[in-house]
Amino acid sequence: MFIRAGEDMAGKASIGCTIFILLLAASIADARLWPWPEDFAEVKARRLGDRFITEEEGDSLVKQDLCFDCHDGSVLDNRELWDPGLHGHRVDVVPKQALPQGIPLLEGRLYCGSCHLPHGDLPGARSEVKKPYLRYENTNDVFCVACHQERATPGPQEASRNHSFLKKARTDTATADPEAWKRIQNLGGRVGKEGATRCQSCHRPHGAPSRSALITFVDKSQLCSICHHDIKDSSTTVNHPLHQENPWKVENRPLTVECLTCHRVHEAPVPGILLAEQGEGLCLHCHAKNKLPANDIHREESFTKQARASLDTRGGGNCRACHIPHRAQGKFLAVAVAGASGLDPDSRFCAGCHGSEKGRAENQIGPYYHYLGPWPKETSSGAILPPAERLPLLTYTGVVPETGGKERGTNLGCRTCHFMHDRPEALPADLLLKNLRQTALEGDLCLACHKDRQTILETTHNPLRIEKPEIRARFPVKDRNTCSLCHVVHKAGTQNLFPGPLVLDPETDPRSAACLSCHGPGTQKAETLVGNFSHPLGPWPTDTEDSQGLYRLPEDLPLVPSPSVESRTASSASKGSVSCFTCHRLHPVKDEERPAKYLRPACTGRDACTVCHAAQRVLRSTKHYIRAPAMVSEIDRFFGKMDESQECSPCHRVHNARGPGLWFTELPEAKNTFEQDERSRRCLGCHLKEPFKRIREENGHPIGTRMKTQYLPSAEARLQLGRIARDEAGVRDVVVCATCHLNHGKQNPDGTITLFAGGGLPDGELCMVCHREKGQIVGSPHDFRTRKEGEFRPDEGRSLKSGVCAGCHANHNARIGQGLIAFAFSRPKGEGNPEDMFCLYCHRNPAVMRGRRIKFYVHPSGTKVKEKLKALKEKAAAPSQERLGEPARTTVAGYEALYHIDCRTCHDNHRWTGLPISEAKELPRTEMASFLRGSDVAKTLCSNCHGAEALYRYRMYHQDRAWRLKIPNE
Amino acid sequence: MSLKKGRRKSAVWITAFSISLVLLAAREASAFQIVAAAQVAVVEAEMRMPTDAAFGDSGVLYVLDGYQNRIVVRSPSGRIRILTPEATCRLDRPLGITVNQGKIYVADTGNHRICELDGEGRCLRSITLRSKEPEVPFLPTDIAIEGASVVVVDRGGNCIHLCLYPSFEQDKTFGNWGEKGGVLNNPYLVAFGRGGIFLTDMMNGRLVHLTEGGMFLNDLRERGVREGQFIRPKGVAVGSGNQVFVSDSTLGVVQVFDTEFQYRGTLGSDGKPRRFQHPAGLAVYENLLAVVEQRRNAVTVLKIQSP
Repeated sequence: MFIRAGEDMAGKASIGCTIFILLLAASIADARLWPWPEDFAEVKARRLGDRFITEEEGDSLVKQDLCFDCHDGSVLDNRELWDPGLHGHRVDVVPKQALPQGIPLLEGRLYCGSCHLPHGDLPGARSEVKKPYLRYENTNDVFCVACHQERATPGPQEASRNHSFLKKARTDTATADPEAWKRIQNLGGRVGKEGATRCQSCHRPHGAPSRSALITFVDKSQLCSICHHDIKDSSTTVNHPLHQENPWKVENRPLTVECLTCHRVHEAPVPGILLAEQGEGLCLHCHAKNKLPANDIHREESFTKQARASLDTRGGGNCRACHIPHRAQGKFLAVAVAGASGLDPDSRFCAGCHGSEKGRAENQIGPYYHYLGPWPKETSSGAILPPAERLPLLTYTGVVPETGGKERGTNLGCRTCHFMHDRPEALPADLLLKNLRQTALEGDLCLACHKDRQTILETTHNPLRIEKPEIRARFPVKDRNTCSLCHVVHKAGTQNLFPGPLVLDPETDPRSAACLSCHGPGTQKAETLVGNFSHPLGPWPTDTEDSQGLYRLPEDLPLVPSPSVESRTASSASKGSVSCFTCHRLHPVKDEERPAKYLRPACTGRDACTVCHAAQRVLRSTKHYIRAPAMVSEIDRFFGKMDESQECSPCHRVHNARGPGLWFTELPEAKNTFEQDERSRRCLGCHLKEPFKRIREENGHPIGTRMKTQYLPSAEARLQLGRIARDEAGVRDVVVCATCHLNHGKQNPDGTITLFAGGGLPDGELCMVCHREKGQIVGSPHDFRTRKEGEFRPDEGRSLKSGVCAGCHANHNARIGQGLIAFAFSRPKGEGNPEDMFCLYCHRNPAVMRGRRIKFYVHPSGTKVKEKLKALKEKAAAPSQERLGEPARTTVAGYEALYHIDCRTCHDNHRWTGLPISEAKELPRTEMASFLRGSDVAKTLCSNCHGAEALYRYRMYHQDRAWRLKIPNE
Repeated sequence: MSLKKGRRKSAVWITAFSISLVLLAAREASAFQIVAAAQVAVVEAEMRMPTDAAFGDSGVLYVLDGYQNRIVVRSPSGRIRILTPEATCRLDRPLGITVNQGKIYVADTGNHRICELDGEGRCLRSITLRSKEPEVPFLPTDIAIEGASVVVVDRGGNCIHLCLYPSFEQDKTFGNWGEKGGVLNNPYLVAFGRGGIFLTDMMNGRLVHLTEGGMFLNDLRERGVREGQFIRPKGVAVGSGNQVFVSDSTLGVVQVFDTEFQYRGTLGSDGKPRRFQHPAGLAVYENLLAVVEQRRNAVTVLKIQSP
């Protein structure tokens, strides 16, 4: 028996009914009572009495009550189907739409038999349909969809106006959670393959607890949250709050804000996302007061393409540009959040877009931006609380308190200065550009809090006072915020909101870096250029080799704390860094007489430099004090009229200096290595010329050249020296003028003032820092200071005046360059080494060198010695290098030192004994310790060649020429 | 011939018409055989589709509100108590109830067991009977106790289990699925009466009479909508006067038979049968009959006035 679509069964009495009528004859007159005639085919009419059931009652029997006869528990317990407190597929109603073929109606209405067939299958129906007694197979709810096609859309969800149907659960959502599937099943629902949603995932055709035959309730979003619990109960994301008061009243919709307030599961107006309404209107039903004005910068249409591309535009509307109802990143349903977690949520919200690449470049934040967070009790900048009526502080939760309310927030947030939805009334249109709560012109906004900075308005750092058009052009009218000259509120390059990029390492000293961005090399402020040579900035020098305690930490001048500096050295960390702001103050104190060049009061005096460079004050007592009356005319003649505006200005310029050391004039080009070091060149600039010539280039201590290894001072000893330069490779030490000299002088503990580094010169302390082994000379016969009155003083008293070394040497003005010999002597014709002459200069003087007089000194040399040494070598008896004295130190034409026995072969004129200085101090002056290289004759070179005769030859060597002629084996 | 034929034809028609008229007249003239019953009380107590009831000592009525897994107790004075067995006797859609010696026995269908409760609904024991076949679940729909005999209706196996009281030791199991003879098709409710056990074989539309030992004695199998016929016989109770009360949920009446299954009438008054809304379980106490009306969510207590 087939039934056509929507066919009224009542009018079409089935064949079975016909049989039934024939059998029952008059017992049951109307066959239309029995649309399921099979069930009653066996009823035998027995006329035992009257009928219990009337024709009218029979109608109801074939509806729901007949089913209840078996499903009341007696066959199957499906009492929930009849529970008036439960819900199910509606029956006894006229269907809204035309039904497909094969779904019968009873009297034009749906009834149990529309879907169910209690006995047997329809021809062609599969056996599976028998169990639930459905007319047709309902695999994947196809039987449901046969009628409800418009409520189940296959295909891409993006275009669907219905909840996803028969689609595999999305693994990125909680819908793929098997626990959710289990919950659905426990509620009597069914889940498709791999979590696919079916009709019966949400609906139960019978016995459903909720209206619309839902498996559970929706008044508190219970049903939706089974699968979408990640949206409802997420601990990692923020979602639109549920169960709140719902101002948007819609019939058959939850009274509170629930999933179904905004979403429509079937036939939603907005496909894909299944929203009840397109655009911002949906949000504004409840959030009407947050509607953005037409020209607001946060409306989607004003966004950049890039920003718009990053938006989730599903559902459209301006609200979604910043807020997403589900899986938001932060409070207020922020699309994205950024910034430190300690920030108020409101500001993190703003940073979500403005702290990223999304927005316009000029609206981006970072890396440095204005402080946000709890309002500090005491601010370092002296900022005061902003006026609440204009610039509100936010509450703990990031909410702007009601204007005029008693409650006042404590957090400084983005919305302290900017409005979002709370646009102040009567705000000038031009301020909408930045959503500022008040104008920023002339620092009005900034100075609301930073009142102590107000004095800047009267200075040339107020851009409104800039007269030069090219500079003024850098500050457009709309941004004529005084503070913006130096500060960038949102995208600063350094701390203190200075712009970047900066010429200095902003980590080291951001303030100075900011100054140099205008006043540094290559900038436009020519008259105030800092120049290539300027006062050094950076960590305060410690008591190291660089400072020698020359600098005094200023009490009145601030050093800049710098975290990065602290990480370098602990000692410097405690002091901080010298910065532009150490001497300058751009925001003068109110009512204070504003000094020139924004200098701090302590820096305005003539001797301002000595506030830190206190030790340099001794310059006044030295020959270098060029301001001394005697010097002025000479200097003026030499360099032109000196700048006497400050004590140091004749030689130094703090800014715009022409050379290192803040030198006032340009240094000449280096002509040779001697002048290579710039600082030395500063000295040489005067001291190579008359009237200040003190140095003979050719006969001076080498400078600008690398120190030989043997002269490299120990780390401890270096502290006694001044500056030791480095070679170009930065590897090797180079002696420069400042290594030995302090051109500003130094006051010794005894009150004397010298121009030398170290402890002074009397005992050669300075020289012996490098020439260590020369120290034995002190107190030895070669220390001319020991000569008694009347004795011969070859140094003419220089050692008494300038120290022991000066007895023989002159560092800058030597008469003989080799060895810096201070006095001149001539080399006798045909006689040996010129250095020997240096010795003979004294030791041939019969008047003064009694007992040490040398009559003969020339030892056979050349080939003979060479052959002798060769022979000894073969016998493995050659003298050691030590005994031979220093190897060829120099070459003189036709002379080979190695094979020439001369004074220094046997003697070291600085070493009284052959022992190290520590062991030799107290040794008496004996023949065995007469500057000989060995400690006795047996160990000298003589014994190697002369054997036992060595002692006699030695004693007579300088006395008798005969000994020279009687050399054994010769 | 033709005339004869024509007369014969006419006679047949006339006869047929006369017979029909007679039949019709007879039917129109016929009246219901009524067993007078007056309503004494109606127990509602916010029940939902109760299935069975039983009288205890001194006429306390116990109604099984099984859809809500509870028992409604009505004292003779009309006071209502609700018993909700907890713990190990928490019910799951029970269908049948009986009371014996102050104890309540519930056929806890959903839990496949019999629950023995005290008068306050506290759990005394939980009894599980061996099903007829291992793969067939034990689905008790009703229980009746008389002396040392217990009969439990097992819808799962389409059978009844005879047990010993109070041990509930299983003695015999009778019945197989079928539609004819001694077989059962969804037996439902049961009662002890004089002469044995009375059982409704629901889907077969018949009333079965067995001996206490389980032997088949008699059955009443008349499907129809008239007196003495059944469509869906559900409840059965045996009165003190050998009246066998049988409710039929489809017909909505309670018919009365004697133990020989002679039709005695239908409960009613004023010559009309009383219509119940889906009557199911029945319970008798003296001359009171409790009829569980499932669709009315109530139990109607009637006083039987005529035998």
